[in-house]
Amino acid sequence: MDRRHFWLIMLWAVVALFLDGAVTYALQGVLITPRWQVAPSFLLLWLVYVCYLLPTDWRMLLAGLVLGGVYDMYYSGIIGFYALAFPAVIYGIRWIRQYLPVNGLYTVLLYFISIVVVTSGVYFGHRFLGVGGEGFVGFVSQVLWPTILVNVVLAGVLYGPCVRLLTKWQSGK
Amino acid sequence: MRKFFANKKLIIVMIILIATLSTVALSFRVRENRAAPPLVQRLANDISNVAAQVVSAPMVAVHAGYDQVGDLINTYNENQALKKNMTQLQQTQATNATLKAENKQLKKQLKLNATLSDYTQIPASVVSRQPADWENIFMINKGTHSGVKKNMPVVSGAGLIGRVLEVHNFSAKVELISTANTTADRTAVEIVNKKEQHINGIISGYDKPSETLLMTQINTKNTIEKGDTVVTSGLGGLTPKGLFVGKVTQIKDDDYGRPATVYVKPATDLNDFSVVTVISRAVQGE
Repeated sequence: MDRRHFWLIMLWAVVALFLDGAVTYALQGVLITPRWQVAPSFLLLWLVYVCYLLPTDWRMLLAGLVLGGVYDMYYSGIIGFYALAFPAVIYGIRWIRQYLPVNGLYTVLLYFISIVVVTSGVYFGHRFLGVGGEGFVGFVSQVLWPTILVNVVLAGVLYGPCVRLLTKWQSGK
Repeated sequence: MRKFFANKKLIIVMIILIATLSTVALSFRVRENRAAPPLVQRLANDISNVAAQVVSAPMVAVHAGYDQVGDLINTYNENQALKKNMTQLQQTQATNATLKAENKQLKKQLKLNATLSDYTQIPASVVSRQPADWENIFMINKGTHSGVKKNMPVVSGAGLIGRVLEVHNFSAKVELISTANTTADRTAVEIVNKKEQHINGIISGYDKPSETLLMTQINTKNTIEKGDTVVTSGLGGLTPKGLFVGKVTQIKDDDYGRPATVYVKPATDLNDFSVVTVISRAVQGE
């Protein structure tokens, strides 16, 4: 990945970072109800797609750390959870990439696992600090399950455009 | 021991975990206890807020458009209801003006500069909301430069919706009153019953299924009924007296027949707000 494309990827990552909060706010009446709570994860989606679909670039680990730090600082003020989770996901995907074929099904499957790991990890971290909301059963049924459902559908819809964009960049256009 | 330190990967993982736990503990302490975060964090948050405003602008426009269409559809019914209230409102306005003038004069005579019910308003726009919403935090576009301070109450529409959690130069984080954060400062409130008696308590939680706030620590023999008004009591913190919180919907008594938990329907929909007002109490003090 050359320098220009790396920064283009970062620019999209920053847009995705703020899109998570913007979409949550704009659709709060639909995404946050007494029966379910959906957390949009555009940034995680972008990181998973970039790391799985493009060849290994270890700068992405540092990028994950910085993006995670900003995510923590902006949305919660407690710095560390996403700053650890994003590089961990990037590292994990880089490692697993060697053993799996690169196609749509596996990309969405890896995104699914990433959401479960990141959302649950951050939830337990917050619970440990006493700032988490639901009990475990409530979290799984009202937060994790709807979040997975909506985000995986979104991942399927956005797979085509993302692949086209990344392939274009990879071929140097 | 030598073998343990020879395992480079394990040491790296341990260092990362220790560093993460340290930053979590430190930033959590800063967020909960300090009036404002360090300069670097304030600057980063302000820059992030500008970027967030750019990204969320189209979303906010769509949201506003959707609201406007909704308002347009409801116009006829709303107009009928408003006409009914019009005459009564004019009468109340006239009475209010007289009472305000009288109150001002009496305060002057008593040499009272400000009381717990005096405050100024700082209007702000909502920029973004925390995606993983178990902390119930949203971001606004006003900070210390506009006079916003940590723990100031925030209202939207008819009533109280939260308090300022973290303040930066040109932005702030607001924690909703419905938060499950056990370390959050609680809002002191009072119920004004039909006999004009005042019953004190605090908002200590949120019941998700019924979408009501839980008022506890009530110690009274006075009667509380459904429909009684709940307002802030002005005791403690930076919250003035008399901000509307909601209406009583249910009362659960303890074993001795005294009200233990009062369920309060918030005056404002906690998942539908775009413009908020930060309240700055005239009488300062923690």
